[in-house]
Amino acid sequence: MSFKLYSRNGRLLKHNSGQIQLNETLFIIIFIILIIVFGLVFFSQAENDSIRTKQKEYRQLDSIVTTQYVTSLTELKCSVYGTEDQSCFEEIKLTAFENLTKNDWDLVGEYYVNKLGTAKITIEEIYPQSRNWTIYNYTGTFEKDGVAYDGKQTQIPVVIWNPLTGKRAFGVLYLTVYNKVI
Amino acid sequence: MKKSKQIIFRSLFSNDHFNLRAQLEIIGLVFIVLIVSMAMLFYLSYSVNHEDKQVFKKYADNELGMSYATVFTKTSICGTEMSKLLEDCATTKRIVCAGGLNSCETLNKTIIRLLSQTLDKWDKAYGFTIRWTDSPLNDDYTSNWQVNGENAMYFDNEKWVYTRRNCTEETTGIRRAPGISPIPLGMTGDTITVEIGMCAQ
Repeated sequence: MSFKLYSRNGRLLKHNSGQIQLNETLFIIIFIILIIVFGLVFFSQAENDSIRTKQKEYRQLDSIVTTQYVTSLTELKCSVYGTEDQSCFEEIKLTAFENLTKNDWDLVGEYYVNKLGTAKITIEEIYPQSRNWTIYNYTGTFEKDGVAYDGKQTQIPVVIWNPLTGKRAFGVLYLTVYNKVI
Repeated sequence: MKKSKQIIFRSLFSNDHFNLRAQLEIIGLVFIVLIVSMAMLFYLSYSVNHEDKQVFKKYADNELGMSYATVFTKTSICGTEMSKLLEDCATTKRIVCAGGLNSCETLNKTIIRLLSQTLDKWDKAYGFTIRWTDSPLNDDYTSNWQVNGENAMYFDNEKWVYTRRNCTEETTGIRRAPGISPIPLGMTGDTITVEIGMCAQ
């Protein structure tokens, strides 16, 4: 036995109430599901952005730590009777360190890779002469894992002091820290 | 029987019933609109609050300005330090450097060379200023320091100031805290300050 719908003037309606309500319910359910899906997608996207931002901030802080570490390397800094000079590197120490890096990377790498990670450090004399020292260059794992890296270069002016002549040259420390691109 | 069914359905689809349903649907619609609006508000506030803090850029700019000023004044030039040459330029101008140039001419030449090989080369926006406070006017300096349009030497209440480029609001924005290297001028109590500040871009 089926019910039939009638309008006010007694005309038979085409659909019965059950069908109308079923359609309505279906439409509402689909709409609510759409809203929930949209919300979930948005929330996951926002969370993803938040993680990326945090990651970028931490990478920047890491770069700061590396920069501070490099500028305060006792192995390279000028010192007179044990007193270190700010923003000053000794020319002889730079040459010695560069030679060590070139000739005995295993020894240098064993210690400094843990401290500096993937990076390149070059010191360039700008005035009066023009020359440079590459004291650290580690990009060892780049090819192995196939992950993209980006490098941000930082320039820090430094005095290059020659303890034999006593002259102080104007130099720049170029530090490029490479980070994984995620 | 048929008649009674018709009565039941008529009562079901009467005006009052339709009004009630319509009101409920409007409430539902308003509820959905509210949810969507709240989501939009949340998204907007989220995107506004999550600007890049540029932690490293600020640090690098401050470090660059500070180191530049310190290293500049310590650099050896003309058999002495840059700070001594600045002192001589501001006072006696007795030091004669290579090519027969006096201290002020040598300083100007060196500053241009250094900046063109560093900050200009790296495409940095900066302000470079050497300020001598409480000094007497000396017109000779103007001709020595003003080599090209970028350099400026001006007098302000009996103080001379040498500038090479500066931060402007139109192009580079606000200058970050500059690196300052003060040089005391003998026993006079005056001070020459070398200021180098990066412009916030």
